[in-house]
Amino acid sequence: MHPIDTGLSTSAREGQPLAEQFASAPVLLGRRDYLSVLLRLTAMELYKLRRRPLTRISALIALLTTLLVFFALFLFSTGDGSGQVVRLLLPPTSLNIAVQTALTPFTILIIIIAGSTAGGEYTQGTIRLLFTRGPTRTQFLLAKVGAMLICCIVGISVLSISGLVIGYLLSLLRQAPSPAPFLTTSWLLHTGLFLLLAIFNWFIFAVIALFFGILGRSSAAGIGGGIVWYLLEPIIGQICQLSSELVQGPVSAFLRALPDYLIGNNLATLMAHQGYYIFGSSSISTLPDAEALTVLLAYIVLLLSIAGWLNHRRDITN
Amino acid sequence: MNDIMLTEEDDIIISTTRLTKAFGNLVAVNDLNLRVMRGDVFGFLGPNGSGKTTTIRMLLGLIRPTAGRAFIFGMDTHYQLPRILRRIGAVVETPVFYPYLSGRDNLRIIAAASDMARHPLTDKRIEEILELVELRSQAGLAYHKYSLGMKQRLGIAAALLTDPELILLDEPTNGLDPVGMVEIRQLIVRLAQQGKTIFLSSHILHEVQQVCNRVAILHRGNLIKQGDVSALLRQSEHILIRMNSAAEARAALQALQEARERGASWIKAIVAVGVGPSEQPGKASEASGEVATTLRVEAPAERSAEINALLAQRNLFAAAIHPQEGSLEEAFLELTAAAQLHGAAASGLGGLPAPAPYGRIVPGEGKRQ
Repeated sequence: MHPIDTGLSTSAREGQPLAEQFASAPVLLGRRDYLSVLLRLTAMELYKLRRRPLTRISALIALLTTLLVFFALFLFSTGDGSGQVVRLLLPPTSLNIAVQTALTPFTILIIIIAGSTAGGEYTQGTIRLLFTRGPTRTQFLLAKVGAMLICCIVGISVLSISGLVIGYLLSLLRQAPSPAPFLTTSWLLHTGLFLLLAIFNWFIFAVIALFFGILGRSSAAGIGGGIVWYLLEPIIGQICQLSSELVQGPVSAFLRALPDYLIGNNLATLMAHQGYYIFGSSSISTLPDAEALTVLLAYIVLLLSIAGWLNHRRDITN
Repeated sequence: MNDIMLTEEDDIIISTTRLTKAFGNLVAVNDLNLRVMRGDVFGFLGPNGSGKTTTIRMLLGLIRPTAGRAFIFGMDTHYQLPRILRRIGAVVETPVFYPYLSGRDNLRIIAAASDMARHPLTDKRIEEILELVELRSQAGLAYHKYSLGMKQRLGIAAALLTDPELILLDEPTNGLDPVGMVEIRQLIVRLAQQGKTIFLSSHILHEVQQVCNRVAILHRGNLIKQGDVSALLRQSEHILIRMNSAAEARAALQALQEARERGASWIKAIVAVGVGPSEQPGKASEASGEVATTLRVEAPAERSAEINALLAQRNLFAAAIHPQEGSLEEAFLELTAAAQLHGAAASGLGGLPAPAPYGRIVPGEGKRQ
C-alpha cells in the first residue's frame, strides 16, 4: 500500500493517509454456494421491503382495518341479547374474520408491494446495479420470490394474531358466552392448513404481480397486471358459468369446466374445505383438494418459469 | 516462446473478439476488438452514440452481443459472468440507487448483493469508502435528496466497495464540479498505483489524457484507434511559426519544404495558417484571400530549435515559434473526422456496410511497466 496523499479529503488528510484508510478494512466475503447467496439476497430484499414507505403504509392500513372490523362487530354486539355477535369476537370465528379481512381487501396491497418490488427495479434503473454484482439473474428473481413468501407469512400471521387478540380484548367488555370447546389436535391441524392456504392465497397473487412487473419492466405493469387479474377472474368465472347455460354440447362442457382452472376458484375450494373442519361452514366444493393444489402449483411454476426466462434473456438497456 | 505467450495472456484483462451489437437495423457496436492489459488506465473514447456504453453493458453482461465474444480475466462473459462480475466494480452511466434508502444503506445493499458477509468489518469498510468519496457526513441522508455529484460519488463508492481488480467507470465525472472532477482523477491515479486496472469511458478528452496510459477511440460503433496515449499525442505534435510578413512566411515555407526534401524527414507537413498580424495561431485562413503569416509544421515539438536555426540560415527570423504539445482532443478530432470521411466514402459506394475497424491490435502494446 502506498501512503499517498491524493488531496481527496480534508478529513482523511487529518487522520491516516488515504491509501491506508482505503485498504484497512478487508473485504470479508460470505459463503458463495448457491443457497447461501440466495439467502443473503433474500435478506437483502426483505431489508429493502422493510425500509420502503409503501410497505410500512400497507402494514399500517392492514392493521388499522383489522382493528376497525372488530370494533364494528363490537359496536353491533351492543343490542345483541343472544350473544351471537359477541361470539364472532371470539375464536374460532374471530380467526376466520381476521383471515377473510386479510384476504379480501389486502390481496391488492400485496399485489402492489410485489408488483413494485419487481417492476420498481426496472422503473428506478436499479436492476443494472444488481445485475452487475455477481449473483445470477435467477438468484435475484428467486430472492424476490423468497422475500415475498416471507412477507406473506409474516403478514397473514400478524393479521391473524392481531384479529384474535383484538377480538378477545373487545369481547372482555361484553358479557360473552363461553365458547364451545374446539381446541383439539384436529382443529389445530386444520387451522394450520387454513393459515397456510391464506398465505398461499397471498403468495400466488404476489407471484402474478412479480410476473407482470418483470414482463412489463415497470411497477405499473406489475401492480396493474396483478390487480386486473385479481378483479377479472371472478367476472370471467361468472361469464363462463352463464354462457355454458346458453350453449350446448362440448362448448358448454368446456365453459363449465373452465372456472375450475381459475386461481380464485381453486383457492376458495381449498379454503372452504378447511373451513368446514374449523368453523363448520357448509359450502363444500366438489373439486378435489389435490386437483386444486395441482392447478395452483402449475400456475406458480408457469409464471415463475416465464419470468425467469425473460429475466435471463433480456437485455438491460435504459 | 510459449512461456511468453502465456504471460501475455495472463496480463490481458479485457479482450473482445469481433464484438458486435445490433439493435434491429442499427449497429451500435461493430466488430470490436479490444485489449486492456493488467494495470492499464484505459480510456474508452467516442462521441455520444458511438457505442461506448453499449460495449460496457456487453462486458458486464447487461446486454447480449449479437456476435463476437468478450473475455475478462481470460473468462468468457457468456459462460462465466458471475465469476467475472465478482472481480469487477462498475459505474454504468449515472448511477442509480434505491431512492428511499440512505447512501449508507444503499452500500449495505450493494455489499449483500456482492456476497460480502454481514460483519462489523463490512460496516467499517463501508464507512471508509464513504470517507474516501467524501460522503460520510451525508451518508444518512436519503438518496433521493442527493445532488448529481453526490450520486456520482456514491456510484464510485459502490464500485470500490469490494476492492475489485477491474474498475469500469462510465463517465464518472458527470455532474461533478471542477474540484470533484480533479478529486476523481486523483482517485483514479491512486487506484492505478495500487495495481487496479481501470476502464474509463469518457468524452472529456482532457480528463482521459491526464489519467490514461492507453486509449481506444470508437466512432459510430467502429474502433478507429487503439494504442498508447503517448504515441497518439506524438502524432498530433506540431510547431507554429509566426513570421513578420506574408513574404517571409512564403520564404519560410519554401525553406522548410527544401529542408524536408533534403532529408529532414521529421517534418511531416507544412501548412500556412493564421491571418494578418493579429491572427490566432491554429485558425486556418481557408480561401479567404487574406495573407497567411503563420506556418504550422507537423513535427516533434523538440525540433523547434532546429527549425529556428534552419530559418536563420536563410536570414529568416520568426516573430514567434510555438512548439505545440500534442493533445488528445486534436488527435481525437482528426481521427473521428477521418473516420467520418471514410464512412461517407464507403456509403457513397453503393451502400456498403459500415467500415470494418482499422484499429491495429498489438498484444502487449502500451503495457505498464
